[in-house]
Amino acid sequence: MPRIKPKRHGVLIDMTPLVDVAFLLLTFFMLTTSFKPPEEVTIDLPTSNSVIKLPSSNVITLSLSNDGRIFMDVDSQKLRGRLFGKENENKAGVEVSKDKLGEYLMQARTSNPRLVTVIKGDKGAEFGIAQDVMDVLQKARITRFNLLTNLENN
Amino acid sequence: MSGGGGDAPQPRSHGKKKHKKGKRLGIRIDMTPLVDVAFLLLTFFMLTTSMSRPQTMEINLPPDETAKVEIAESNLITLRINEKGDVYWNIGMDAPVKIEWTKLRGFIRERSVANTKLVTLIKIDPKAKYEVMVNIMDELNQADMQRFSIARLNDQDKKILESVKG
Repeated sequence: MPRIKPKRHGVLIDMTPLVDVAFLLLTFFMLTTSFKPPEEVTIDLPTSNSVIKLPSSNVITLSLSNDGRIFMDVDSQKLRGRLFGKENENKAGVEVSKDKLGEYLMQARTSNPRLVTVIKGDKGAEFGIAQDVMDVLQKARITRFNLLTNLENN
Repeated sequence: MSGGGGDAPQPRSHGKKKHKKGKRLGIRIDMTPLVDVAFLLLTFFMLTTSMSRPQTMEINLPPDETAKVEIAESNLITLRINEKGDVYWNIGMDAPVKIEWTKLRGFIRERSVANTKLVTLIKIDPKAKYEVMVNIMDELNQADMQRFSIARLNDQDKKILESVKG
């Protein structure tokens, strides 16, 4: 028995570098993740072959649901609070009527002129509503906007 | 790991009682639970993060909605899309002809090569799906047709399409 004893060493692996890397990645993912509040409507995007990426900030999103409602959202919480009131500050979009949309867009653009407008339409939404929204955009002098799509896989 | 963790406190208490006898052993803290939690969080954040930003299609509207462009009839190709999403094309005042979605891209490309002044007017039924609009814009972009206008399909257009079917 005494002979065997000194040979029995537990294998110790130095885990420090592993842990370092793990924590580095952890902090990275924690800082880059931004949790979205639950969306007001689920939107099934159409597909296209366009490869332009959506800017990550300064975006006004106009969601068109397939039952014909329009939701407007801005990505800054502060601006959202100012536009739609404190109670809607943490919502992901507020339903707006076609007539009020232009007014909201103007307000948003005056407080932040760099805002990019994005239309996020559901596949099944009616073209008429999209056209109405585009008319409003043109009236509000937003002549440059994006349509959100998924990449077409073929 | 567990062996190392268990050994650590013993020499320390030993040393205190018998004063200078204790060897200087490095303090080993069992980091296993910490690492477990770290990896758990890491996997969680990795799985919930979506790295890819969605694609967008960029549209530029003319700044003035009253802007009017005069085009010769022969240079205007009209694509009419009905409620069901069928595409009909015609040049000038010709009768509309139905075309399959799959053939559209090649057809537009062919036409724009044949006549470089060609202007496209897309008329879509307001009841048609939004997807149809995105698809047709995508087809035109793919066919290098960057300039086009989009309008609603009015009653007159509907009648024209009816007459083709009948």
